[in-house]
Amino acid sequence: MSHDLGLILKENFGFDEFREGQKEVITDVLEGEDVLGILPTGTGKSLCYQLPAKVLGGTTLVVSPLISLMVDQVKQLKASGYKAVTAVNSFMDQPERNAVLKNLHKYSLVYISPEMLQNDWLQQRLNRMHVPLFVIDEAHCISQWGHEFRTDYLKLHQTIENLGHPTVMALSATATPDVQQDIMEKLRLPHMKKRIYPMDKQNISFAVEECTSPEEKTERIVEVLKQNQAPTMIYFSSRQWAEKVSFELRDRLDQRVAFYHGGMEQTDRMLVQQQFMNHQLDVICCTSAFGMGVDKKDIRMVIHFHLPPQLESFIQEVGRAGRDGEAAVSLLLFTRQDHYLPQRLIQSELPEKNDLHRVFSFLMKKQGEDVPSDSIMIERFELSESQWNFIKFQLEEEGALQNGKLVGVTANLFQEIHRFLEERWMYKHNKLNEMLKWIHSSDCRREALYKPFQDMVRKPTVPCCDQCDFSMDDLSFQEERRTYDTFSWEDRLKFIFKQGAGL
Amino acid sequence: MFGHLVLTCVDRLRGERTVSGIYHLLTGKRSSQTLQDAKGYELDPLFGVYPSLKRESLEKQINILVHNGLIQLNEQSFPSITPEGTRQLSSFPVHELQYFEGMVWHDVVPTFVKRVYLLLQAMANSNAGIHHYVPIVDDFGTQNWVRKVHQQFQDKLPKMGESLYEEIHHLLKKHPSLQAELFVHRLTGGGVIGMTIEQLTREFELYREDVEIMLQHTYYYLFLESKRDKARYPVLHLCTKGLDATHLITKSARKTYQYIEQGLSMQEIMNIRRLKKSTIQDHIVESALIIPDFSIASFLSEVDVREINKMGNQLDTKKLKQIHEALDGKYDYFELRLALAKGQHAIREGMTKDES
Repeated sequence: MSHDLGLILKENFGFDEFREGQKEVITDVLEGEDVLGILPTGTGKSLCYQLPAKVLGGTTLVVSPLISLMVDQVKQLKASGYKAVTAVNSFMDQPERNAVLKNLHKYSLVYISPEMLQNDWLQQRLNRMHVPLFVIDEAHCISQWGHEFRTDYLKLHQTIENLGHPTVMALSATATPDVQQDIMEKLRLPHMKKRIYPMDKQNISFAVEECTSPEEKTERIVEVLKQNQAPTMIYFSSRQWAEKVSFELRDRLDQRVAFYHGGMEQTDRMLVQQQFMNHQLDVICCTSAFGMGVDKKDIRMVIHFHLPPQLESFIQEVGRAGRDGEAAVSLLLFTRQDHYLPQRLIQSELPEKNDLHRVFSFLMKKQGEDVPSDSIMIERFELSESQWNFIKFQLEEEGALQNGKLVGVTANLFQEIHRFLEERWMYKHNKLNEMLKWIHSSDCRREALYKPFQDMVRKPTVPCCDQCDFSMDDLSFQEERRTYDTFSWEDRLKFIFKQGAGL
Repeated sequence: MFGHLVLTCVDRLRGERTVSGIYHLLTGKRSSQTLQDAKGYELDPLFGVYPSLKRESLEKQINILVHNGLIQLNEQSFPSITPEGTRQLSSFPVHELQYFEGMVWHDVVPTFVKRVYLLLQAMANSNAGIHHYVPIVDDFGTQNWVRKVHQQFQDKLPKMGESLYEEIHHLLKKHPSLQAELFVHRLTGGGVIGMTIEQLTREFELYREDVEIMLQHTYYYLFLESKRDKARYPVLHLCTKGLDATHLITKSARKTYQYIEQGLSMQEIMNIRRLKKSTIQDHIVESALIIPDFSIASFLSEVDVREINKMGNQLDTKKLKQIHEALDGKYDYFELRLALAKGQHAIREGMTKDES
């Protein structure tokens, strides 16, 4: 098969040329080769399957871990004129889901959650469709060494087999060589073609600063933002802090500040995203829930108010800055107390030995019975959802839980799962330690950040970092801003409808 | 604004209902108790006008009103209005909240609002030459509706956009200006993204509840005005198409009602539907409330209905317990509720008024 990819790109997506890596990955799948693509954030990963989906016909499946991410991507695609796309997820209401499922084969691109794929009815439906390409987005979720291990991803190899082995494309923005290896093993596709691209950002300068308290961090941010006027994201590890600091900044700065986190209503979340895209906001105080699927090109500063739990998340979040290729800055603020926060996060994800023990004692007595419902287990043992999911999946994986029945919960198994649990704890702590090591490092920050992921770190096109030749205090972004928010209602209404002379 | 709304509820409920009762009323809970309260205390305009109300917000508002001496709580923490509260209530500019007709329209107003938001965005964007955008309303049904309007009126769209502007402008000119501000700042289209509720509260220095209530009120205003005047507000009227008044009866109650109309006894219905007696009784009361010509003769005679309502009027209460005692337990609670429900229609039709 031979296609004029440049022409297809121009006609369907309006771009003149491919970005690094896109053409290679696309060519691979068009030639029927399974491919593992590691492309840094901001390089248009999604085009890598959107274009083949057009060319190949049939329905391309895209497995994506986060519903909110799926929904965002579908919205954006539709907004850009790509209509034959949908996301199948558990949040759709019944009429919508029925309408979508009935016409599933008419969509060229279907986003789906790994949980949904386990649905028998849906699997049968898919088996009767033409699926030439199977895409796994955020493929690092497959690997237990990836920073966001998702147990449902481990069942994907089965789905691929059931579908008669369509061409497989696994994509990730952050995967170390270990994780890459693990992805191929877990998919049972040892011969995937690897397409690995450097993820270092040559247009970002790095700075890390120590503060003695959260208040001092806020002071510092005020100082920086007084000196710089440009689209800025500030990352927090909790919703409360994102809100709190956004209020303070709003009071103290002549900039338009908003907060964003997963606890907001759907409409409000969308409005804030759109306002930021539309230059109606200068600063967003957010949790990691923001950004996925938001492709704003001109973000100049990414500030971290809290430590992310591992370098991978940090790299991804920093990667939101400077997607237009212009100079951008990453500033991370920390206090000596900060590493407790990510530690608590880890605790909420994994069960403790004690919990595991209590759950086992309980389940061992229920041999041969149905396992109680998720909500009962979560409530009874005061577990978080991900803690219980972890245990449940391990039981399934070891064959002790089959079709919802408990068949082999033994003391031996407890030992085994406990060992695995300890490994996970260890792994997460090591990850956190890497992050801590990085902030305290006295070597070049760019080198230290990217070296684990690629052979050679390239020379930056901007000042490098605060260990080399960069100083926050020299920074001065001054962008003009448009404003709509001070009109009276009559003026605003006129403006919206473009009535009269406009404003 | 929200304070006034709550004060109105407390006033009408005359210290006979709890704060929960007010909460169920404003959020539009479909229980026969709430429906009966709404009708009985003439609060049906406010039924379901604030579906997103949080319980804590209401509790907070109650505390503020108590603190300001406008209401008081009795031993069972039933709120009642104080003379100061009554004074304040009468000095409130009534027109600022007069358009609510919750009982009849609360079910369809949200759909109307979504249509207006999305249609307006589509029209304003096309005016401004913006062809790719994220729809502000993320709802399958509404998006379908707007798509259909587009197909149906293709060549008339620019004219309709102009009309929509004129209609909204004209209506908001006659509306309290703060409410107009809030509504317009919430709109998205023509390259402007609307504000979140939280941003509105900051921009206009208001409480969240006041912002939400004023928006709700504006929605009812636009809905009712455009619904009744198609010639003057053609595009907004289009957004009200197919949205009819609700006969507020739950599906389950409707089924019971149908069985009764077919002549089945309560026991038979219980057997067929495998429901508890009290549930069936709720259904019957609900039917009596909603359906004016529903005959309750098989449960209670005309004379009984009159006696119960007469006692209620004499005691000037809707409290079942008081009526029950005053009639020496002659009727059970089901019969009392049923009679009061029936009496409600009688009052509306001006039949039993002079009997009290």
